[in-house]
Amino acid sequence: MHLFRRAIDIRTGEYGRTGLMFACMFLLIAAYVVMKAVRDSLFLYKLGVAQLPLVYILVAVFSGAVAWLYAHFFRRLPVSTQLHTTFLGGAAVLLVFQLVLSGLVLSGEAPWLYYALYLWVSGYGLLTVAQSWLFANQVFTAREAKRLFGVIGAGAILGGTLGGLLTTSLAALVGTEGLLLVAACGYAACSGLVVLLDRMTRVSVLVPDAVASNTDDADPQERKPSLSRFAGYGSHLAIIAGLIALGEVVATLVDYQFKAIVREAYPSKDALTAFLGTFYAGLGVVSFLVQLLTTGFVVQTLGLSAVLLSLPVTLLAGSLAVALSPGFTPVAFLKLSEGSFRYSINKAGLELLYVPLPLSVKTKAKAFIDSVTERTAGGIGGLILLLATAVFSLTVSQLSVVAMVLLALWIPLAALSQQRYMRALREGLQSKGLDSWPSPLNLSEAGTVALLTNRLREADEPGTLAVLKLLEQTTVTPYVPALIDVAGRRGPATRAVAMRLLAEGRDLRALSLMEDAIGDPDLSVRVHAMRFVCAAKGCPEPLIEGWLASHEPRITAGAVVCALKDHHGAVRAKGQEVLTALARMEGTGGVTHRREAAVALGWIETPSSVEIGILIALVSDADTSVVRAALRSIAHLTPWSAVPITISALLRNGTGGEAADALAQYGPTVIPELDRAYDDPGRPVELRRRLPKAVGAIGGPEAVTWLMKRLDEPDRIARYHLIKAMNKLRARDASLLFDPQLVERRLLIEIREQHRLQMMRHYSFPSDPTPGSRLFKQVVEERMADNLKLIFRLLGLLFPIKDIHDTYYGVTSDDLRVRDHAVEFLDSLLPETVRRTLIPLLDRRGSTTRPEATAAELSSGQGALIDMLASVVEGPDLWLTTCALYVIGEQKLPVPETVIRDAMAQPDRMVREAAEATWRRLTEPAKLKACL
Amino acid sequence: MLTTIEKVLLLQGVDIFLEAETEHLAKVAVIAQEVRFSPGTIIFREGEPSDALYVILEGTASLRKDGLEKAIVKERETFGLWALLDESPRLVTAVAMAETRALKIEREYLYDVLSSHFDIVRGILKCLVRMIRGSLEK
Repeated sequence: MHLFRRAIDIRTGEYGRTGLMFACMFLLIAAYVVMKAVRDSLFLYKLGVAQLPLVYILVAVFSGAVAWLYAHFFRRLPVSTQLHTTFLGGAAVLLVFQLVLSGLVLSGEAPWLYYALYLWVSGYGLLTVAQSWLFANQVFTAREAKRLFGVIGAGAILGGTLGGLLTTSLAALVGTEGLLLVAACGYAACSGLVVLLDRMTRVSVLVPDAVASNTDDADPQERKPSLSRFAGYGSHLAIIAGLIALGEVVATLVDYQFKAIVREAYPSKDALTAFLGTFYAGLGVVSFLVQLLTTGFVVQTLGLSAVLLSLPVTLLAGSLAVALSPGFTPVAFLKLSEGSFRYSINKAGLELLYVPLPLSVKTKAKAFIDSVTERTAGGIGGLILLLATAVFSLTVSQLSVVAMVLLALWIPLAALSQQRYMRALREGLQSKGLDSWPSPLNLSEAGTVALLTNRLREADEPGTLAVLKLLEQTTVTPYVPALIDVAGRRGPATRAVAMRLLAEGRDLRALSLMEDAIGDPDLSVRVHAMRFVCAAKGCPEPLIEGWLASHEPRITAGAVVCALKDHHGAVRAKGQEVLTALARMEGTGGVTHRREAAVALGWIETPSSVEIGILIALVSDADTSVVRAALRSIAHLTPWSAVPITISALLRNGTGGEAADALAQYGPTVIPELDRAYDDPGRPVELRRRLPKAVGAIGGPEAVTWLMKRLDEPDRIARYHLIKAMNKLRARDASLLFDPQLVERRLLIEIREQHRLQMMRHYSFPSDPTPGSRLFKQVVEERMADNLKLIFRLLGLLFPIKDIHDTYYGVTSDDLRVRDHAVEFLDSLLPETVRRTLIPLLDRRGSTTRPEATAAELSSGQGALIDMLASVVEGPDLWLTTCALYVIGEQKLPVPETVIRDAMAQPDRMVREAAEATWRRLTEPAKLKACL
Repeated sequence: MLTTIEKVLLLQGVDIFLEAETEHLAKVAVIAQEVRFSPGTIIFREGEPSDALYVILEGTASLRKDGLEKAIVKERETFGLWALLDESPRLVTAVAMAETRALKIEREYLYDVLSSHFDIVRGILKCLVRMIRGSLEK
């Protein structure tokens, strides 16, 4: 029953489309099989086996002509219109054949008539089958296709069975030629079904050429019937074409072997027709069983390679049997296995290979490959046969050796298909971009100077910065005027770099600019300006002492840096004294002074213990901007004694980012300190949520080890930050290894949690909706969204981050096709253990399915609801606990008393408050009485 | 006295908090104090330093400038947001028109919550954009 459900997984909203498509394929293949039996029987009976190689070649030529004519006259029409017109036309042609071959219109038995019938049936039959699958590709999304093509393919196979049985039972009754009328009726019915399907789904997708030719401003390149439009998908399409071509050549050889044996065994025309009918019916039954019982299962569990390998491997076994022991039975087995696997499991696999392609590529490529490639390969098969039988006089058993050689090419190609399929899916999810900067080398060359000077003046901020970076490699003398210009009018970051380059260049043309910049808001600019002026005027000490005495904190701070960095003795001592005074300036008015002191400290490369003490004190400042400046200075200096205060700063609102960055600058040596802080029970949980960012910023294998060690962190938010830090680490350094077993184990736990939340969503409350029940369900939804992010972040540790990122946005998209594409990608990517549990969660997003319906039925009882709420109250999620307690009180649910009492003893204030309120509601005498 | 979760249920319907996740609203609820005003009480005066945002739970308040009524604030509506964000003195005087119950959210605490919950900031920004659009379209 489970296997049956997996094979037939039709969901709400899909029954109508699936039913009609099933019926269409059923009738189409039934008609085709009848036609084929008539064609084979008449050809073999009238012209003999020796003519078969020639007709195979003619079929290839004829099919090419049909494909060209079809593309030329029909391409402007929607696929549905093409299809139903073709069906009606085909029915009419069959009617004409029936009249001619029965002698009602023409007398005589000209051999060309049988060639004509063979060519028509082959070309038309395969064209309609290919077009019908293309139509099915448009009626269903990629994800639906993966589930439903098995069912639709079964319709085709059942049709083959019915066609075979009809042929057998009607051959003697209406004669071989009369069966063509039956086939004509089938095609006419298909035409009606396509019209119905088109109306139902409103799928009238124009093929790209049609759109291009109807649009005046369309790209002329688009009008060219060129293969260039397949650029980027070439190797993928080549694999599909290769698989189909090899399949067709081998099928031609097998077909010849089969017909040669059958012609010998059945000398009369109608008996031959009847046998072919029986055989095709048997073939249909076997194909149906293969399709129904194995296709879906193999596709979903063993993957695409296994699906595409099943036919060639079976044929290899059959060919070996024929080579060793030629005769009716082994040849019939070979044909049976070829026929049953080819149009069931192999067909489903080939159809899946088209799924990742964009519609424009898929439409053109599929029509080309399915009709032209397949028939050309049939022609090549005919040529091989002609050579083998007419030139080398090979026997039926010897032909099997030729088939085995071809199979030796086919099997590795099928094995490669999964890899190409994945690549095409991945490319479908990604977008590309490229940005580069040219890198001239001789920066003193006049032309280069002119070019870069011009760019410095005219480029945008990033462009100017890029040129400034280049100028760091050379003497800036030729660029001084442009740099002065840049420093005078650009943003702070660009201005700071330009000022540094000018200061280093010591060109006196910049003196005036430098003197003006001594009070600049940016400390780095001030320091460069002061150094420049000191060097230019040649009397640094008096200048610095003058600036130190300034009442303007910006100038004082700049002078402090110059004094402490560049000088010794009295000037340095004076600088330290001024720094202390700046850092101790109290109150709101002193904020600017303290902030300037904090920034200046970061510029001192070898600070004394006094200066470090001042810096540590500033991390505890009441003003956040001062703390942030102090933390940035700590990041620059990394004094060990500042580690504890920096860890504490992680907890302060508005300084967490700077504190994490500062800790990261200490490198892996600080990790043991962070580890101790993480385990300190006296610290609030918030610290555990903020530490991972700092550890992640440190990077390297030590950070990975620490983060992985904490992967089972009980706090949901802390766990999220741990995994997020790992994602960032991996994005920065792809060579880092995250133990896949540990990640997969955690992934399975998170998926289980997602299933639990999914179930919780379906519980019905006695009074629903109420504010409490609505809030509870909203929180569950929020938790599901958060948990899904966590799951994808974990996947980002196992697979390429970009792929997972794109897939996450795909599965959360409102666009059904994008979502299906993303789920399909994951389905092919994930290991079996994860796939089995995760895909059902993603597959049912936004639609009602059997598992959800079952969940809803299971969760309708009050006992189940109470158990669920009790488990939530006892769980670790404090906010969900609070909401569960509220809804218990609001709806007066008889939850065990101990559950509420335990919650009342919780340390969390919000939970305790909700538990107490619920207790009051549940025990309030009057209301309790009313309740009873 | 309202519990935290009851405050969350009330805050859920307030336009500036529509974007917020429920757990983040709980953080706002924790810092929101329930306050009551009898009719005619001046909640704050024009020109006073702005220190808090108000959400009316019951009753109505009149916002007046130079003695003229500029707007009436009803249940689940906020007032005091503009001055709160730009830290300028109050633009208007707020007067309770009936028995009024409100949640008062002090700026310093709110800033702390906003600094770590961008979804609430986004909701406030959207609300401000709506207000600016509204005034431009008038």
